Formats: sequence, C-alpha cells, structure tokens
Amino acid sequence: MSPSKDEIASGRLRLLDPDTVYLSTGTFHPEETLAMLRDLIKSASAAGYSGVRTAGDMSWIIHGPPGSEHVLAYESQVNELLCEHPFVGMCQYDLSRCRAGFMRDVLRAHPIAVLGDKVCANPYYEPPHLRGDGDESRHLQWMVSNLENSRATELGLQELNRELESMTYAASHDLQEPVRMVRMHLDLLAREADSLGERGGRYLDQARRSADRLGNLVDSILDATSAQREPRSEQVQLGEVVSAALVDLAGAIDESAAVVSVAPLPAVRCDRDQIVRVFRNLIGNAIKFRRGVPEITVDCLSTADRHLITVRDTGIGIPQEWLPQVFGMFKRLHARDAYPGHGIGLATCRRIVESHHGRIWVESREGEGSTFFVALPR
Amino acid sequence: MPALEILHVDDNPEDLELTELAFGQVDASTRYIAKDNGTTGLAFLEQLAQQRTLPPPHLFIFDINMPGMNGLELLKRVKADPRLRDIPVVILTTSNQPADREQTLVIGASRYVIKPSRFDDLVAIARDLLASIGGAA
Repeated sequence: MSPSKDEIASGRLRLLDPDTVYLSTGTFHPEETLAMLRDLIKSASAAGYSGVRTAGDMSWIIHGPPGSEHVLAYESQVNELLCEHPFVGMCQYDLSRCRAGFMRDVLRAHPIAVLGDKVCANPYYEPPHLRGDGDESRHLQWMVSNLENSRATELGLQELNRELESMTYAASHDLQEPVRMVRMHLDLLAREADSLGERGGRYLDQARRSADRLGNLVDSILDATSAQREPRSEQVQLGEVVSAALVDLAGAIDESAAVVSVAPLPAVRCDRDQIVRVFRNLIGNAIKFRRGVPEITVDCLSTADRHLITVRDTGIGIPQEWLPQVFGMFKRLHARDAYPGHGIGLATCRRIVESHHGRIWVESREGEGSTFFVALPR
Repeated sequence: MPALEILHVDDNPEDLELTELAFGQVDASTRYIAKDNGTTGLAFLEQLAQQRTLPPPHLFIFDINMPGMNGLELLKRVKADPRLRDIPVVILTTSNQPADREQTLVIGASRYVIKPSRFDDLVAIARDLLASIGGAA
C-alpha cells in the first residue's frame, strides 16, 4: 500500500470533493464551509491529533458559481480561524486562470504566499481589520509602519553584511602574519635541506607548497575584502597603474618570458590601489593561462563618456559555456593542479569595476586567447 | 668605510630576528640594533643624541602597527626632533593601506616597504636599503 493509502485508512489524511466542501447546496455559503472546518478541527483534536493542515483547491471559483462573491470575506474568516486554532490552511489558486483583480484581492488576504516551490512572507497581506471599509487613517498608518519595518530590516541586513565583511577582513589580515612567518622559516629551513635527508626534503617541499598556497589564498581573500570598501576618487595615470601591476607580477613575467605591450593610456578618476588590483589580476591571469610564451596587449579606446581598456592575450582561451561563470566568486574552471588559484581574482575585479560604476566583460575563443574589457566612466 | 648601523623597532621578535639575519647575509659587518617597542627605540636615539659622542644610526626601520607608541607617533616624534630628523626612516610593515603609505611619506619617511613573505625577498630589501645608505650592494 502506498503511504497515502495508509494515511487515508488511518484517518490521518482525508480527501474531500471541492463540491462537498464549498458548494454542497450548489451555492457557496462561507459559514457552511467554516462550520465544516471547525468541526474538522474539533474532531481531529478529539482524536488526539495536534493540529490540522488543509490544502484547498480553489479551481471551482473560476466558473463563478452563485455565492462566489463571498470568497474574500470567507478568506478573512479563515484567517481568524488560523489564529485561534492549531490549523494551517493553504488555498490553491491558478494565477493564469483567475481574474487579475480578483487574484490581487486574494493576495491581500493571505499572509504567506507560495510561488512555485518558494514560500515567501507576503508584503501585500492586509490583516482582516484593515480590509473592507475600515478606517482610512488606520490603513495608512499600517502602510507607513510596514515601510518602516522593511527599511529597518534592510538596514539590519546591511549592518550584518558590514560586520561580516569586516570580520572576513580582520580574519584574513590576522592570518597573514603567522602565514608569513611560517613561509619565511620554511625558506630558512630549506637552506639546511642537506641535513634533512631525502625524505625530510620531500616533507619540507610539501610544507612549502602548502604554505605558499595558504599565503596566496589569504592574500586573495584580503584583496577581495579590500575591494569591498568605497573606492576613493583620485586622478590617476592609467599607464602608471599598469606599471605598478607589472612590478607586482615581475616574478611571473620573468619566469614565463611574457611580452607585455602597453599602449599609451589616459588619466582616469579612480581608486589607484583597487585598479592596480584589477590589472594585476587580469595580466596575471593572462600569464597563468598561457599557450607558449604569453603575448599580452593592454590598450584603450576612449569615447566621450567612457574609457574602454582592453587586456588581450594569446592564451588558452575560455570555452563558450564557461564564459558566463568566470566572474563568479570561487569559480574555478580548471583542476587545482592544472592551474593554481582560488577563483577569487575575477570576482574581485568585477566588484572593483562595478563599484567604480564601470563594467567588465570578456570575449574569448578556446585555443586562441581572451580579451578582457574594462569600461570606466569618464 | 665604517660598519653601517641600523636601528629596527618592531613588536614581533621573529621579524627582528629574520631581518637581522637578512642584513647579516648582505653585509656581516652591519651593526643591527633591535628594540621591541617605540618608546625604547626613541629613548635609545635620544640618549645617543644627548651623549653627542656616538653618531646616530645610518638607518631607522620600524613598523606602523605596534602596541604603545605606534609607528606614526614614533615617526612624528623623530621628525619633530632636530637632532634626529635627518636619520633616514624606512617603514617596514604588513599594512598595505594607501592611507598609511601616504601619511608616513608626507611626514617624512624615506621609504615604505611591505614586509615580504619570502626570506630571499627580505634579503633583497636589506641589500637595497644598505645600498641606499652607501653600504654593500
């Protein structure tokens, strides 16, 4: 036997025909249906159940049988029943088959709405005492207090968000110091590698690799959280910004023999440090995801209202289906051992560019290279 | 040429030890003096200035974030003292806050260096700093 048959046999589940519940006399009389619900609650309680849940299919309303004009009054009274008894009721309406004006009123009568599979508190719900020809000033007062409540909720969430961000910043900042010390001391230990033997040397290598990874992770989290602060607005030579990014990347450029060509770039009002971060990430990625010797070109096209900066590479490119995801936080497209990284860099870039009221996007062909576009307003 | 003398103030003893090691690798004759807080660092310099018998250190290195007298305060005090203000100051810190960099350079620090995570980088910094004050390169 299926569980529902079990339930039906034991009396826990009852299936009733809508015509019996709502239209037993051919006309909808709210008080009859309400009386039936009250009886149901009473008998369930007498049988030892802790409460009643109902799901009512309201399709019968579509045909507009006599008495259906009382449906909204009925819904109000059901709400009172909900408040007074251990009773949960769900009314099912088909949005596409009911009149919009009617559905609007139905929505106003239900405190909670289920849309598809999402349950949401209904901000348009009006408690019964406000509906109908109630006192207008009381209704207005209620609306104003609703606005105040949602504003307070919003402020509370913003505050919580700020706290979380500063906690992330503090945590990654405080982690930096011990990680730095571990890496430095492992460097010193590596100088004594001869005395460690073959196995000891291997353990040391593994420890250094992990410490490096940890250090990079902490740095990128710190980078990402620093990108959360309001950007400063200073007049900055973009060429100087790109040079600063290249200095930071000197090691990777040397190692890969990358050729980076930088066209003359304009002056821009922006947060210097944050924009350095953007170019460090973009150029760093162009080196990391290379095909042979990386060739990277930084160029800019300025129009009346914006500077469009491009970072073009001849690297491995990004498959079309991955393009929408590349700017997501912690999105890594490759296995960790194929390319190092944490999936934070491009998310940080997007955050920074958007906080400058700009836009960042990428065009790419797999196997040919990628071009990242950064549009900053003038 | 006489040995170069460096005063370094940092509340992290490991940093002091590593930095001394790095300077020693570049030039074993470097005289490296370590103090673990701003107050004793400043007192050391003031005492030297008072005695007038010994020259001040060739380089004064310190961190910004320190308990007690922080680096900013220490920098202001040094730059406000005519006997000390000519000692080149290098800020060696983990802080990459643009405000810290700008403020210290405006008050008169000669260099602002972020503490590295690699010992080789620390050696390179030590070499660079010694060269800047006319020592071994």
